[in-house]
Amino acid sequence: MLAPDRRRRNPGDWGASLVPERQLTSEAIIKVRDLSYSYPGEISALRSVNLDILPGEFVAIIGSNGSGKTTLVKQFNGLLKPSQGHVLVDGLDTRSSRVSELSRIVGFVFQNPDHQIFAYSVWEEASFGLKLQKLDSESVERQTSDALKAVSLDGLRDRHPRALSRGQRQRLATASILALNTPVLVLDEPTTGQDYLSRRQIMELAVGLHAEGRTVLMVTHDMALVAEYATRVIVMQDGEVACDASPKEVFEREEMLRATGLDLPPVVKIARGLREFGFSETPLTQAELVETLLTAIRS
Amino acid sequence: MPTIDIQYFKEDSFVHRLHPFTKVIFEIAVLVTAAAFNEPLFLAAVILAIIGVAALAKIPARKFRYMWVLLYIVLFMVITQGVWFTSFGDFGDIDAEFEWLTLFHLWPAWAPGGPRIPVIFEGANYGFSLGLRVVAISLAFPILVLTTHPSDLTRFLSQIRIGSWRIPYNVIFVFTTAFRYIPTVSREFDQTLDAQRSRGVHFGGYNPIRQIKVVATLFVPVLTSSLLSAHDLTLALETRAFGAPTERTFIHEVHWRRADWLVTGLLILIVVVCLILANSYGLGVLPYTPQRTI
Repeated sequence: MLAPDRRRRNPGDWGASLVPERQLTSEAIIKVRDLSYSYPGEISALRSVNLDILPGEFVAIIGSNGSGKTTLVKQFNGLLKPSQGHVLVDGLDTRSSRVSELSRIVGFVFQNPDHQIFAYSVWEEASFGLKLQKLDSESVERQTSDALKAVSLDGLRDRHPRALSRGQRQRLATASILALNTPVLVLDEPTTGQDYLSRRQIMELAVGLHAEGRTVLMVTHDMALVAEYATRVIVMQDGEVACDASPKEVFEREEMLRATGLDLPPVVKIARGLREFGFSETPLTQAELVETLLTAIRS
Repeated sequence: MPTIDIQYFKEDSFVHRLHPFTKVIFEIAVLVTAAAFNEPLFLAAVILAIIGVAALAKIPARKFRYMWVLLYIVLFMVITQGVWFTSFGDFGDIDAEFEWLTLFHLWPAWAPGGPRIPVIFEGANYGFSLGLRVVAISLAFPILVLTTHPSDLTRFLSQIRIGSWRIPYNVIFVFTTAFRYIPTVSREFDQTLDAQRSRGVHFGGYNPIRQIKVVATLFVPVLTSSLLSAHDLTLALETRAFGAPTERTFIHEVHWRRADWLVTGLLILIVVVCLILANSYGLGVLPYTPQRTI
């Protein structure tokens, strides 16, 4: 299994180069083979999906509503089992593994924290998953405080979760998954309904976790975040993978994005507007846009 | 898609076009016939008839997915009745010699002091028919909600009057809203189940104390969010002047048509025939049905 270590992120690049040489030979942590899935009595939600998620990637999964994003990520921890094909998580076939088993490898943060919060205090909520794993009290204590610190809720450990704001509850739900120290983290629309500050905090957290060497998968509608943080983008359309490439490559294929009902991030739009003036780059962040613009102007 | 998906299912079918009251009569007819018979074959016929009505209403089978839970109820009935069934022993006349058919013993013959605790066929059969009654009723009940537009149901309920008394609109509203919230709560339940499972909670297992703890992780979020959404609903209602003293009007009127007369007549006929068959001729009633002689 992948041990979280201090690895630096390499922006704008993805895949093998992210992973240290030793890891190059290592297998994909999530392997999806000919995966098809249909909800009971309904048309298929996923059709012959093939994917390899490598350790240490920061993958954004985008697509319009009902394109199968959430259905896909729910396969990664066995909440849904394939109708056809296989999903292998760290070598375990999700068909024959319990969700509680897979939850030690894949942490899953849901969009709505209120679906999971049941405890009487922040501390209890965050440590619940660890207590289920029957860890010794010392590790529970350590991992829980680390997780609460990571989401800056460590000052509120005795507070009742209902007394927290919506953004804080979202962070608490995240902390309860972080505490499990899983090598893979799935965030299902983590920034929906959050204000700018909370969005920023959640994204910084995700980036920090990625820098620690964890594999982060994020389902999102927020193109600006995709452009800025992801190392790989998977575009879903009608239950199929429409495109699987680096953010730059994806945003260069504007027609494909349009066809899937997605928009370009603001920075890329500006760059598109500058096309007729001979600007051909696809910058992903504001800083990159400014930099490339300045070089273009100077030359 | 929530597990329990009982809400108005838009479709143009004969059943959909019927007056809500006709469908209420259908529900009552099912209740009466299911109560009249207790022989599994007759109850199976009742269930088949209900499935026929559901097919006529073009309701897809997936709407009844939750029915598998009833399997446990049927099983429970079969086992408990098989063990504890006492027919002539406790009440009634013992006119004829009756041979109980012992299926097997819970305490087997090879065990010390065995064989004891017989499971008898008659009891199991009676228990099975009790289970089938539950199946019949829970299969028929959603048909009313699935095939009647909520506003039609509201309109129908508001039309009921006894003398000058009518059902208060608040009561009607609570009634129809409760139906509307079944799928919502079911969906919340499914999502909570997913969220807890993904942090390692294992539902199922044999340790009862652990199971109680685990169930709390499900019910607390579902109950809190239900209460919160009920609170939100009251606010939304207040802002739209719910309860303002006015005479209500309705966009859709429900009409009693000729088909309703026909169906109602047919249903009453069926119920009467079934009652006569069961009570006067003992058809569809097990000969060892426990009953008190007055």
